[in-house]
Amino acid sequence: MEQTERRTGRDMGSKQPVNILLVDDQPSKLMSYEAILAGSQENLIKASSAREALEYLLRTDIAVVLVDVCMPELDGFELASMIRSHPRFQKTAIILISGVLVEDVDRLKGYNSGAVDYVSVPIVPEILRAKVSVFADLFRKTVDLERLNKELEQRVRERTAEIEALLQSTESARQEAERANRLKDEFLATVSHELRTPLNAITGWAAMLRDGGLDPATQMKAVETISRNAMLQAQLISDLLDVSRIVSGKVRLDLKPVNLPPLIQAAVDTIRPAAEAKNIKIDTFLASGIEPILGDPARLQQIVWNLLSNAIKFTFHNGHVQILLEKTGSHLELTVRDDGPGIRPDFLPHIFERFRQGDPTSTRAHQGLGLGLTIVRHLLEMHGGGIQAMNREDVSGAIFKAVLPLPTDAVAVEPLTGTVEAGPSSAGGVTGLRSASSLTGIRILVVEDEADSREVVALLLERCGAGVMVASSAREALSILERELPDVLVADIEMPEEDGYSLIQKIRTLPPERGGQTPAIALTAHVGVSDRVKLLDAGFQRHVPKPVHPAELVSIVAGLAKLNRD
Amino acid sequence: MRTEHILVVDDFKDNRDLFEYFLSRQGFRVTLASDGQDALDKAFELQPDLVVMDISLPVLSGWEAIRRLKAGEATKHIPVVVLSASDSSGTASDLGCEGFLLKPCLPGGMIAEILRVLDGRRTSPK
Repeated sequence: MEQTERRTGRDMGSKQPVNILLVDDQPSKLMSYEAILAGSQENLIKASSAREALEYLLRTDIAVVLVDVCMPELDGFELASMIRSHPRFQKTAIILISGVLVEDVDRLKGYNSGAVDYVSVPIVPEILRAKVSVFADLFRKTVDLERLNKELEQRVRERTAEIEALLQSTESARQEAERANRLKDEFLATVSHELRTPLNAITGWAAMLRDGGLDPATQMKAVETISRNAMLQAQLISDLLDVSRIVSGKVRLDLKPVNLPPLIQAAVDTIRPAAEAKNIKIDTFLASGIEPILGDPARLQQIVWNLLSNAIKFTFHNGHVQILLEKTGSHLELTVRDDGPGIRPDFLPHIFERFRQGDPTSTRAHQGLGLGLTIVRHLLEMHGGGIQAMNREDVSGAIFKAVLPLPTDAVAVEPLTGTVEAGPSSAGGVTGLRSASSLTGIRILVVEDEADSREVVALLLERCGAGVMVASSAREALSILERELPDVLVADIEMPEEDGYSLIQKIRTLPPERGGQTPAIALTAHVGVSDRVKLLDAGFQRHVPKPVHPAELVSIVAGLAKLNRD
Repeated sequence: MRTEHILVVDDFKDNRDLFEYFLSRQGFRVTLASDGQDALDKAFELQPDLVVMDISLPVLSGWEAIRRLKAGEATKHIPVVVLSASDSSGTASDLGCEGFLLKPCLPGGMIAEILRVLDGRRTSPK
């Protein structure tokens, strides 16, 4: 609204010149009309015949036609009639120059509401000027009105579209909620099926054993089947519990320097019998000279094992699975490739979601709860890494690409002591820490614009014995760094004015004695792989997802602080 | 001893082995199928006296296989006992199934349900 009013006001003030068409077969008369109207600032166009006048009218917008009644061939009346009868020239006013009767002019007015007027000869310049000026203004206003009308229509269309979009997004939110609900139901049905199916074999064979009469070979088969299915169920249950603990943030990482190549080799060896059962060949390509990373060896092994077991599950008999480890820039890349059927494109975006499997429940070709990849994703994220899934382009098959951050030069990996463990889920997240003194003597600068989060993080770190400085903006943090030298920086990423990326980039340009190499932890909501790489590239050592899990933050702060001091 | 021909459909091999063992011991002639399509093909070709149908199956779900069995002229007379991990006996009877078993089911329970359906049919043919 406001913008249009302003624009309209400006247009009206500056008086956009309009076209005035002067029509007369006598050049001298044309010159005299021109002379009279010269001061009007409008564009004057001269035509020496009605035909020429029509050509102009068709080519350009004319506000006023000033036409002599007496002309050879087509006279002024005829021209005026033609103009008046054509809807395209509705806005064009006609001024006839003649000494004829007023009634003849009135006859013309009958055509429609368009303006028709006359000026009698001899012309009084003031009258002609006044009439032209009135019609020119009328034309300008009509054009303005039309434009406003169009804008209004456009605005109405836009609003309607907005409202429709809003309705649609409400609808899609509702559908999303329904979808989530349906997924949960499907998941429960899957859990029920996955637990009851092996149970059927267990109870069935147990009943047969109890009733007796089985020959020794069948007895042995029964016992083996029972124990195999009991193990299968145990695995399902531990996956279920694991995913619930991981997703609710109750899993503790026992961070140590880890050499990935032998760990991967061990995972490959563990899974080899399963691969050999389907005659699947596992090719391992591990780059040499890979530096140790900071991680939880058992969890890292679980990641590798889950990825491999997923690949083997979906690979056909006699197929191939490849596992590659290489260093790319600031991180390690672990790739697992299979030549199974690949991933349905519409399922790709959901592959790491809980409760999701590529197959709908009732025609599932593969068993399991669909939790393995969810567990992998969460464990990688806890390590500051991430994972992507894609289909192969050369042959059918899927590729899983996991990234894990490498320690930077400033923070080399060394053995850590005193990891922190979370107690039973503490609501505020602050009281559940068992090892309250693990940050004693460590000075931490916390940068967070949001007061409540700042308070929680500061309190949490103080409870663990740290000396905490707080800043509510990047600028404040930089000014604190002018006089203080913290051991660790904990910075929010999403801050108004200046974000965490900008802050860390500025800090990394400072000399070491001014805090330029202070290890830094980024706090952000859930981020994807590219964001993680961006965080590491910007100069952060680690990433802690929000909402902050106390044990994770304290453990990471402790690790970074210790390394920085040593 | 019974001699009827039972088609047992389950995608889980350990269960197929179990069912085959105890149904054979009972005297039944047993044919196994591991997915919905396999089940349809065998039912059409071998004309068993009864089908025990698991629901969560690859290729073609158990429900879909039952729908097609009950719609086929050559197979609609074959009684079906549903074997399901969830209580879906309502769906089963809606589709015209004659029996229902909830997993896990004991051998005795399955045999009893199969006999109930077979004998019920013999005494009161519909």
